[in-house]
Amino acid sequence: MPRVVVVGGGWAGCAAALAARQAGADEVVVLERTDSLLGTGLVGGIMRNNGRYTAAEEMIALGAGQLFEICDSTSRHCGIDFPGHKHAWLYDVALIEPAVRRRLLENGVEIWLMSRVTEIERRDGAIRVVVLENGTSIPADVFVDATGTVGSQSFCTEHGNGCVMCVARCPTFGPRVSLTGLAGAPERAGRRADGALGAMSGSCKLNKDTVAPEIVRQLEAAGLVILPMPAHLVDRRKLSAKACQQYALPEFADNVILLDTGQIKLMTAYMPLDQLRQVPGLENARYEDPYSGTVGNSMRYSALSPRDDAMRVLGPVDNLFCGGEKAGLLVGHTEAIVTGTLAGHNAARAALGREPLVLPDALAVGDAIRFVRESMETEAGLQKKYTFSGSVLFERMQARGLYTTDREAVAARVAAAGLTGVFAREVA
Amino acid sequence: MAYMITAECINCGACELDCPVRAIAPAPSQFRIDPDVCVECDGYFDVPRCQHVCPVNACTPARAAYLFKARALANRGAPPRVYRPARAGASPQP
Repeated sequence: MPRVVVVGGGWAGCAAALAARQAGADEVVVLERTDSLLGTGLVGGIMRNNGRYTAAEEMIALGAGQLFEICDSTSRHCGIDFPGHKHAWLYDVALIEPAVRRRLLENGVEIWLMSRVTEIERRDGAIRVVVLENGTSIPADVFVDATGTVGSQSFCTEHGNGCVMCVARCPTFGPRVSLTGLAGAPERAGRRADGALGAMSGSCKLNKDTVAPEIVRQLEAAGLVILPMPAHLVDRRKLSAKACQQYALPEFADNVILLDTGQIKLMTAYMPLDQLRQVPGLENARYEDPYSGTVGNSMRYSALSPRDDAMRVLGPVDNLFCGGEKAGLLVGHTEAIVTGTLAGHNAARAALGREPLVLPDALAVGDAIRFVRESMETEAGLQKKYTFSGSVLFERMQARGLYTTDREAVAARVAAAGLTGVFAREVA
Repeated sequence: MAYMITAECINCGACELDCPVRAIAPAPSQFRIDPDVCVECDGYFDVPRCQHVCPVNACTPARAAYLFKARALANRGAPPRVYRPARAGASPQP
């Protein structure tokens, strides 16, 4: 009975678990540290903007459309444009987790919450068992590291502005523990342009009840409100600290950009509350996430796994795959679903004794996986962030002619690669 | 008895520098006191040095700290919450 255990229940872990089940793993277990799935997906919401549209359509054509379907069906707004970004879809951050949880259970995935892995048992060049904080041992044939790169508190203190009480909730559930690290594979850290370690999450959330009703009305109608930043509060320096280079545009410093994801997504890494309240309409604003949005945001990219293009972790064990932020300086849910899906699919293949699948670079998703891996091997590459929605990777997609919003063209591209529905089929 | 450093440790290193018996060393995510070396500063200082210099009160007597932590972090190390798919012959019980 091929058995795959996925450590980490964020977007990448959920995608990996679904893909492993669909590829034919009999038993798939997700181990999640906190009390809910999706990790930073609980506060995210932006899908399908710019090249993410193409990536999502490629994944749907490849047979890994389930999570995109859920995002689409819980979207509050479809096809909105905001500075630097076209055709964004915004899912409702309150509705998404229960929907994903149900879908995983329907697909036969077992979900363990408040299950923090703190130890492994390694034998003969493979991980045999992962051990939870309470001592429970969980065996599997193949493991997926989808533990992410956020935190811990000490990393946020050392390289950011301290623990800001973000959705990672390290103080309650214990900080992230890297499976790659436990396995003894050497990890790398992303850097900021000035060489400092890590990068800061790019957006906050405001409580909807604390924002002027007129703004909320516009927001719910259009999905988007742009308020000019009072001149004395414009601070462009902050843009360089962000993880999300696709939002590091002057427009995001000169304006307060609000998106409707159920609560209000504030498109800046952080902002002192007293300054925020000087913006007309936000006089009573309160942070919903992170709670200390006044001083900072979560830090990420502290521990990247060395990997190949099949998402296998390179190191002293041969039955470990990785997805999500572990897999590179990839920003975003779409990116996590892409890498997580391939990791889960190949984990099932490994458990079944089959060769792994590598996506060709004729596909935007295959090209991204390879390009990010190659870039991460250089110092300059470690200072960048990669997303289908902007910056270097989107520029590369456009230059290679891979960016399109034509669903049929994407389906034809996937068919030409001979991979239509590959993630939806059991591995022969 | 020895002292210990709780998860509040901010990795400043003040305790390591001041420990008279060099019982403190960096561990993967924070500093750690070796309980076999720590003498609670008996014969050196009235107040254990690490507790005195720690800026975040992370250095405390081991037992009290343990009890505090167990209370405060009730969710950590508790039995996991398991959701099983509705199908026959799923995974073995934990």
